[in-house]
Amino acid sequence: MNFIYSAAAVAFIASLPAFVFGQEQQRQQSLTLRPRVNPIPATSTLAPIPAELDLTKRVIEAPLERAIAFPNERSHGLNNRPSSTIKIPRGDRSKSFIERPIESLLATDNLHKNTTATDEDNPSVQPGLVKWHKDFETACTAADKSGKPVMLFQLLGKLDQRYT
Amino acid sequence: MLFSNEKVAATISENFEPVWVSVRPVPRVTIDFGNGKVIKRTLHGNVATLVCEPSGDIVDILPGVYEADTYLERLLELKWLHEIYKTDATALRRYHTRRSKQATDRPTGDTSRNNGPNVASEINVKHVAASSSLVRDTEINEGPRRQMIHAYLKDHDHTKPSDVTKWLYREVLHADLDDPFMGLGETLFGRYPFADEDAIAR
Repeated sequence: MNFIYSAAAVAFIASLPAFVFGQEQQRQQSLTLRPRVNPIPATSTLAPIPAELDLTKRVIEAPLERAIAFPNERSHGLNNRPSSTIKIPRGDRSKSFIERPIESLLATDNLHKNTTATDEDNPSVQPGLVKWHKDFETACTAADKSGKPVMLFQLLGKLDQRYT
Repeated sequence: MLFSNEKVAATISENFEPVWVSVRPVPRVTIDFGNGKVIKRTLHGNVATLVCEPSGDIVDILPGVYEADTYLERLLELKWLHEIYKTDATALRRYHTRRSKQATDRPTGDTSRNNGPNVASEINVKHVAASSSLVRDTEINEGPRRQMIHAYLKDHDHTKPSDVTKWLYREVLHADLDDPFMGLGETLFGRYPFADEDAIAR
């Protein structure tokens, strides 16, 4: 009887490595089959952000570097603070960098004065054969002297740019 | 380009003190076909020509793009009106009142987007179909758009360009300068299946 129990115990112990190996194999397989979230293309077309503009990265990573350099210092960054006192670091201005130009682009209160065209996507062109005054006030002054009426041509875009 | 036309440029330089002013950046569309082909176009580019006294008061407005000969004809009419106004201070009001009355006497049935009286029914349909889009634009400009302007200016003496610009673009040219999408929001997002996602992104 003892012999039978001993043989069963030996067989059980001998099967353990195969069981564990099988589990590991299944786990590896599931990892292989799992779809990747947000796969990064091998040839990304995104240009790297210049280090001096990458403020968010700097404000996150600098405390960690400090933690490594000065391991005995008590506060190394946001994680050491109580959650109620967490504040956005002053250097984290990335949102304003993104949004302010759009806001100013959409603002329509300021009518755009004639300026020299500099937009690379919208090259300068000759604004026709007419000799234009530089602004409305100047045209009115000239009209006062010449007795001619002012012809004010309003447009979207600029007459001295290709796309108007 | 209209102002590259020698006759147009010479007539303007001889009879007016010309100036151009941008009222806002022009919307641009870029389509990248992904095969190296990229097209760039302007969207909703609208213009207006305001003839003004040296004081800055508006004499009259030519809304939109005109065919060259009609443009010059109208400009010279307004030059003539300016000469009359020098000696008759009531000339402008009488002119706009008469023109706006002529407008209301005309048959209506507007097919354009504004609410003003329409001259589309006066235009020979075959002629419109055969004519270029520029001629068609000129007809619309000379019809319902100018009628709206006459109706406005007859009640507003000494109007300056800055007083009327936003109204002109919003009501007459249908290009609201205060709308970031210039009135195209419904067209762009109304039936777009990913409108909600776009709204979040905006």
